[in-house]
Amino acid sequence: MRIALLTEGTHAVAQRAGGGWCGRLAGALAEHEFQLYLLGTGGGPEYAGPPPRGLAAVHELPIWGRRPAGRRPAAHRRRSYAAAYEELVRSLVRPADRAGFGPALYRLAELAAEDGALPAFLASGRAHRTLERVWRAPGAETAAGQPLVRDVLVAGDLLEQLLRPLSAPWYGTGPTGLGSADLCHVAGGGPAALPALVAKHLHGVPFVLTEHGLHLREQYRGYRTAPYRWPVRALLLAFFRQLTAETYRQAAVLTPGSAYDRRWQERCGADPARIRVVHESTPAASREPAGPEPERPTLVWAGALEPGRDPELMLHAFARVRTELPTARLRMYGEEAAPGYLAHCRAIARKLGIEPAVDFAGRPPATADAWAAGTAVVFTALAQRSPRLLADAMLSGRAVIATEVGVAPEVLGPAGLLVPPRSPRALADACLALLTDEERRARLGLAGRLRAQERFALEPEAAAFREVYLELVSRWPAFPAAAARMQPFARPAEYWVAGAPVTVEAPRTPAPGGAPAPEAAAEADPSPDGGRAAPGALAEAL
Amino acid sequence: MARTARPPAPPDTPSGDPVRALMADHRRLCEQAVDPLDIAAGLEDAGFSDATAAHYRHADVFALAEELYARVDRRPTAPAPAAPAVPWPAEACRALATAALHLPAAGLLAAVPWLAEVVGPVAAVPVALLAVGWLSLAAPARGPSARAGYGFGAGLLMAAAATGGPGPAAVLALAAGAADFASRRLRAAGRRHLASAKTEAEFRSRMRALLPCAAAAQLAAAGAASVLLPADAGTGAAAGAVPALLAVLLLLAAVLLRCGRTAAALAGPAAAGAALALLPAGAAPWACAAAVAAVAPHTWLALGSPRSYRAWLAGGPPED
Repeated sequence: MRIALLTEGTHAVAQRAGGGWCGRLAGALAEHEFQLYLLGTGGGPEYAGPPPRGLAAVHELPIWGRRPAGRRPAAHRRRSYAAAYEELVRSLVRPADRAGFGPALYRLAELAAEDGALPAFLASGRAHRTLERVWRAPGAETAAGQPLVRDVLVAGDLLEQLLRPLSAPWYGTGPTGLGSADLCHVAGGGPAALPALVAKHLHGVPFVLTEHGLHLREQYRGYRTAPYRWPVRALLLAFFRQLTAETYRQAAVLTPGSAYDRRWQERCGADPARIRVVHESTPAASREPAGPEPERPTLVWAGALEPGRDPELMLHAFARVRTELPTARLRMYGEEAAPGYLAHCRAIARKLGIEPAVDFAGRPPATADAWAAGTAVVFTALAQRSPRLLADAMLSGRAVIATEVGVAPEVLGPAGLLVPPRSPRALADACLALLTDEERRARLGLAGRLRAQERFALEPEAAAFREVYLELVSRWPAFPAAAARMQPFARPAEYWVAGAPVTVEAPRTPAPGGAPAPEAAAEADPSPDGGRAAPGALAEAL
Repeated sequence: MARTARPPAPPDTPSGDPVRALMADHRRLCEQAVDPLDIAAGLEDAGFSDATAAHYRHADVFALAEELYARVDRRPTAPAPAAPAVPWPAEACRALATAALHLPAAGLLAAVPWLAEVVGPVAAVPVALLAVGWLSLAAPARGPSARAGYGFGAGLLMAAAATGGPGPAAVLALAAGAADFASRRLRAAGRRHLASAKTEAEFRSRMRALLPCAAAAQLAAAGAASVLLPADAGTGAAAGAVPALLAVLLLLAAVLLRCGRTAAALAGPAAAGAALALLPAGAAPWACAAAVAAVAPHTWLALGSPRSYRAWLAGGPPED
């Protein structure tokens, strides 16, 4: 089937990693045709060459930076634009009008699809005056300050950038349009979900939402240090919250990367029945384990040097370890992320008298080298939002100690030691327990490697998405015209497997856990108007 | 999962209210939060998990954050300290430098008719181009196209004034310096009011009188200067009004350039210069007055629009 991958920025599709996560997924599910719709940074095209392996095409739309050149809406349409924008702003600033967010968003998208003048309208004086009037009206949420003119300007421009995907040239039913896709797969929430929401509204295309690191939570964290006044922060975060809630409401399936993120999604209104945790695969899953341990007992710490990663806890705990085990060493990998923090850490090491045994090693050539340099690996972060680094360390086969925050309990499970955050004594005890017990170290290291290989390999992820895709198209109405009837199984799985325009190139590996869905779909009775293929075609295709 | 120690218990307070200490620890986070989820994200960044929240008698971090959000009042942020104003003597020095840069160009352009007469147009063209290039160096703008456009427009105006002799050309060079100074001050005033004005209407009302005052001052000063530096004998009595009106036109162009309206800024001088070159000398004051009347309302609106200062709010690149 034809799948439209929607994502923002470059992190998910970095070229140096062979297309990144999107490229990996498209490569593993070669029986489907993937097209990438990328919301770029505006700093020039991010794909100069041919699309990466597995992706049929890359379409890019810059959403940051300069406003694209374009005409303002015609005079008689400005009133419609202003009315829709006013409803949108009202849903953001008045708690009682929250339900208006979705309709206002779709109305703006319809208007933008007709004449493409949305960015120019949002930058105009009329839009700013609308924003100011609604925002300063009684009943708006301005607990910590009324907006000033400058806030209206800043927030208006930010909204203009965030709403640019609504006027993307992607909503047709032609070969490059989202309307002809069978489903959309959104990687990361926020603005990247806007095209999927519009495609669902205009053409009835269902979408899957994959979040590796919750978009909304990252906005809360990012805006805390942004140079905006409180009213701007409140308005923009209200926009992200409403957008997230609408995305969760409309998404057919949500696949967070961890149960930790799942909590947030449920809190933001996602239906628990539609959430499935799918761990993000890592190419390191096929890496060889690290070689023999170093001769001297060495602890390896990795992470950015900043207060949130709490390297100070590591230093204090290591001082206790040194009193018991004078030969122990500590290698701290990572670059300075807060100004002056490296010098601060060095000063602490000097004060604790452990400076000769501590090595601030900077950024390692590869993470595998960092893990191989240690006897055990320690993570002391106050918040562990992404499983990536933990999984990478576990794949080395070294025993891992981590603070019991964020994703650490579910990633590490019984295959590592968990300690409470901010407790040097507990961490020192855990380190000593591992450094002095070679057998336990080896057992935990092996268990961690096996656990990470099972969870973070490409196959389980590909199998999970294969199942999700098939389930989705079997559940969704056949064609946009049939959307009114909402008939289940009107577009059965066989339709795609047997009659899809893409030939099955790669031999499909029978995936564990992935098989039941297509078979179940094959047994189901295809509806009279839905399938092009005979009911038994699926079995032949397999 | 192997546990090596229990998390530290929250401090026991006599009132039996463990959240009170938490509120004190995270007061700033709670005061600045926009909603409970904001606090939840902040608590998780500080090492809180559902297990920790249980010590505060809550099921999870979100419920704890809701209690904190309900118990701590939002507090308005203190207004950011205003950026230090550029002292006016420094700006006056820069304006003098601008005037000094314009003077050689005015001299060159004043020499063009004489050169054309004595040596021929072959010599006049490179001299005029040199003057235009020189003027674009002194332009109150950043972009290369805006600079070249300013050089061309100001060159046309100066060439038109220079037909009356070196006196009016010198007046115009000094007026360019004054226009540079005034446009800088007007931009600074706009930014200052933008930082504090509550509504767009209030901002407009604060900016309303500034441009008329600046234009009147420019007109009066240039008029007085053209009396002191009189034109060649033989030009009409009304010729004294032309440099004064051209000086106002230069001011409007500088203000528009600083407001980021490049095309409008260059249209006025170009149109006036072309009209002066084509129309008979008697119609010159009227042509200048018409150009000023056409450009002034647009400039007034641009200066009073908060959107002209958008790039500065967004932290744009440094300007001259």
